[in-house]
Amino acid sequence: MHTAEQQVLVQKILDGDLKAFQELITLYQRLVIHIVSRFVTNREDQEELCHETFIKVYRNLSHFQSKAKLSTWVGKIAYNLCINYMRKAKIPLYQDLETGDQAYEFVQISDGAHTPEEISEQKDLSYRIKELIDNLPIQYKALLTMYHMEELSYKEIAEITDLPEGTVKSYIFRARKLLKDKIITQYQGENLHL
Amino acid sequence: MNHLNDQELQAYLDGLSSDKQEGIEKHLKSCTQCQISLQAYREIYHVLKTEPMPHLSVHFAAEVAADMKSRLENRSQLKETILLLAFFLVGGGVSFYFVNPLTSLWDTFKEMFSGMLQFIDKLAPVFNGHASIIVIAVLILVLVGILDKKILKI
Repeated sequence: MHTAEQQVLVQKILDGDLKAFQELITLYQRLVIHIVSRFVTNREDQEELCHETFIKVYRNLSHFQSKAKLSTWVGKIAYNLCINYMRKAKIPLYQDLETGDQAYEFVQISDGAHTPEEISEQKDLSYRIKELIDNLPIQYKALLTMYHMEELSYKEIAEITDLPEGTVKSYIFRARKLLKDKIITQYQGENLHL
Repeated sequence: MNHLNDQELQAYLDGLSSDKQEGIEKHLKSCTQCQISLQAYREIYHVLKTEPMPHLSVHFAAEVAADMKSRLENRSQLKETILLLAFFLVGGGVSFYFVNPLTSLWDTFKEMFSGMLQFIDKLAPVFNGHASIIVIAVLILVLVGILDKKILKI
């Protein structure tokens, strides 16, 4: 969305146009549920957090600075609500990040006793990768989703998460390397269809 | 032979290595190990981009907007109530400051309802001399009831 269009939409909402607010929700609900679902698995909690995000967006819209990108601003609200949710639930988000690689090593692949051939018969490679992604530390998953699925830049992700851009790059790099190493170890290149 | 490192492979797939593109592709043609690593990354990138994610219902936007509308209405009602209370408080404060409202009120009440008061006085023995206070209490309750239903809409 262009800055001018964004400004028009924001102004309409500030003037009390709830249809315009509905339009904003439709535009960004995908981004919000994608961020939220990386932190929260319970469906009800996911919906509640998304709902809360947009209520907060409405209430704080007068503080939105037109120079900023609306998607990043909405994403930041969703992300912060998720962080608060994790803190309340006492889920050690940042500890995960510190010990991310180490913790990941303890995630057992369900049928590790089988040979790569047997594994490939049971589940295809995509499914296995998805399983590995699901077992990544929460923060890694959130950053990967923002980068790959939402196609946000490192800079935008840094704005959403309040992390330095270099840290965002490093986390994304480490997460992908971790996945690649797992895949190579498990499949030894045999099922990678060169 | 020096293999491509993970940074080079990821940058290649991210399209961030335009200056090294040619060299990387040349190396990839002759190195199976780097081809395997690159293919693993390709699969990972593909899944990260296409994996099924939860989505919100088609009515989600309308539901949130409706909720916001009702919250705004409640807020404006609350504002009205607060304003009304403030009005009464200020009015009461001013009255107390400038006049003796209880005496004035009682005098006005007496003038307006002198006939009724005579009737109440006759009933005084029944209520052990407190008939007027009971009538005032009832009138206040009726007034609060009217305010509650008609003005505050709570």
